[in-house]
Amino acid sequence: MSVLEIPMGLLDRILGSPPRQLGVDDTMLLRLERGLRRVQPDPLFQRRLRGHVVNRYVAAREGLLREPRPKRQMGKLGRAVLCATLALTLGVSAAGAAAQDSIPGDLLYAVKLQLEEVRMRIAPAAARGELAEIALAERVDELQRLAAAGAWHLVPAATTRLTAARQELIGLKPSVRARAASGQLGPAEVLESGLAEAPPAARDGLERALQTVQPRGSSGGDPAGKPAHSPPRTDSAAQRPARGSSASGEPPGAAHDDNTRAAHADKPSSPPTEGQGNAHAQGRGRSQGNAQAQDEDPGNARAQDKAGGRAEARSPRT
Amino acid sequence: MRERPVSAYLAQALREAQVRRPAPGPVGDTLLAPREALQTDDLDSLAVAAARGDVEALGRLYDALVVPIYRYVAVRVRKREDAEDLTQVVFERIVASLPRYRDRGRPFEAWAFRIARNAVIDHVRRERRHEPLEGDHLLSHGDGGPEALSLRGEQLRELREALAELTPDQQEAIALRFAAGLSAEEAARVMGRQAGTIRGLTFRAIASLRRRLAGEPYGKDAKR
Repeated sequence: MSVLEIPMGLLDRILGSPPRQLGVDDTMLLRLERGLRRVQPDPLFQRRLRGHVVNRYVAAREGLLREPRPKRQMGKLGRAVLCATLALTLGVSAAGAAAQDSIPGDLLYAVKLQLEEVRMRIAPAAARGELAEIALAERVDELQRLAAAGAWHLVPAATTRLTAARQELIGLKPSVRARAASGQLGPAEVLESGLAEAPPAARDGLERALQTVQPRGSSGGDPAGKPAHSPPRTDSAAQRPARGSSASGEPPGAAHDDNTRAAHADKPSSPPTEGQGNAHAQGRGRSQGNAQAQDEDPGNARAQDKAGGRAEARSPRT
Repeated sequence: MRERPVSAYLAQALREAQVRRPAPGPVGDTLLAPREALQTDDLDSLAVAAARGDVEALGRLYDALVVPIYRYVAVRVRKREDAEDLTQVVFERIVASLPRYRDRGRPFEAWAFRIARNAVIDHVRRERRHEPLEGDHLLSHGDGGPEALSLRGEQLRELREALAELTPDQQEAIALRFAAGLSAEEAARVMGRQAGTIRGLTFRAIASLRRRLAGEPYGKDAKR
């Protein structure tokens, strides 16, 4: 016994703790030994298992045994990566779905534009024309919704995007150039209806947009000063005083129209008739003379088609 | 088969323990059960031969390890059928892993019991706890008459119920040391612990068993 074990042994005796050393005749040890050693395998099982083990050994040695592939359980890292991937996929899908209905000013509008760009890039060349048409329709819809919501501060940027979408469509599908020249490919109605209620700050943008999408002839106004793009003559519009009227009392947009007319003073243009003004108000129809004037307008490079198809009235947008 | 007296049994165990180890440990090292199996060095050489394709060496390995492995597994599980199934699984895994065994100072017996330990752990996780422990079904059927078999089965069942109340580490230490007949060092290698830890686990397990089974007649008072 070591020096430390003597006082520890005394302490155990005082406290009644079991001895730290087991004697040979310890009853518990004996019971364990005897009890557990009585556990024996069944002799028949032992013989059968021996044959099975030897057969398996020989088969494995000869290459006849194909061990089953162990099941690979995904570890924590794998599960984490899988969950993150699923969450990202669902999140992107949800964001994409939610972005489809967004308009300029919404949080997901940038996502919508990015998705459209990605679709355009990955689409085959034959399908890009269709995508461009869809994109143009989206821009028109957005502009309508902005006008309906009264978000005039966003209209100029929206009209810029609309114009760009129109240009892209014409670039991808030259066949639509004729429709573009006749004003069928554009949101003229939308812009004109927006002009009725737009504040002065938005009117310039709408005017510019309308000029880019409309045949040039329609831009000519009444020499008497009547605005070429008169607002639609609805009851509410007729009763509502013109917004943003200048101090001179002239109808809004008249100055701009005058400037436009002055720029093309040397060009023959048929004065707009009452009927034509009505047509403007209702957003329908362009005379052939207007179309011809548009052809001579160097600013409208796209309106080069002198086909008779330009004379037909534009169908109202539904 | 006539059973030897306990005193002769223990004397032989003491002689073998003293020959194998220079100094006895504090707990039960001198009571190492004599093994029917070969010595460790012999097992290692047989394993190396079997890894190279010697069928006879494999057979001798099986004969040396089947009873200790079966005992170890039987002490840890509840039913005889489970013990037999697990023993078969253990030997199948040993055969499958044998080509990869290299004698790098790691005893083959510890390597084999490591496989058995993992198989038992997998099984214990799946087995249903409410099933009662078997007693007489684990005993050899050649042990005396039906009455003796029933009595021993009852004693074994009580012992196993007491073992089931130990901690998992204590159960494993008792199973490796008393059922499988491994030394503290070998059991430490199987469990991945230090030998002193195994001795401590054994000591505390025996103390718990003593408290659990206190007052029950055994030894010369018990019917045999």
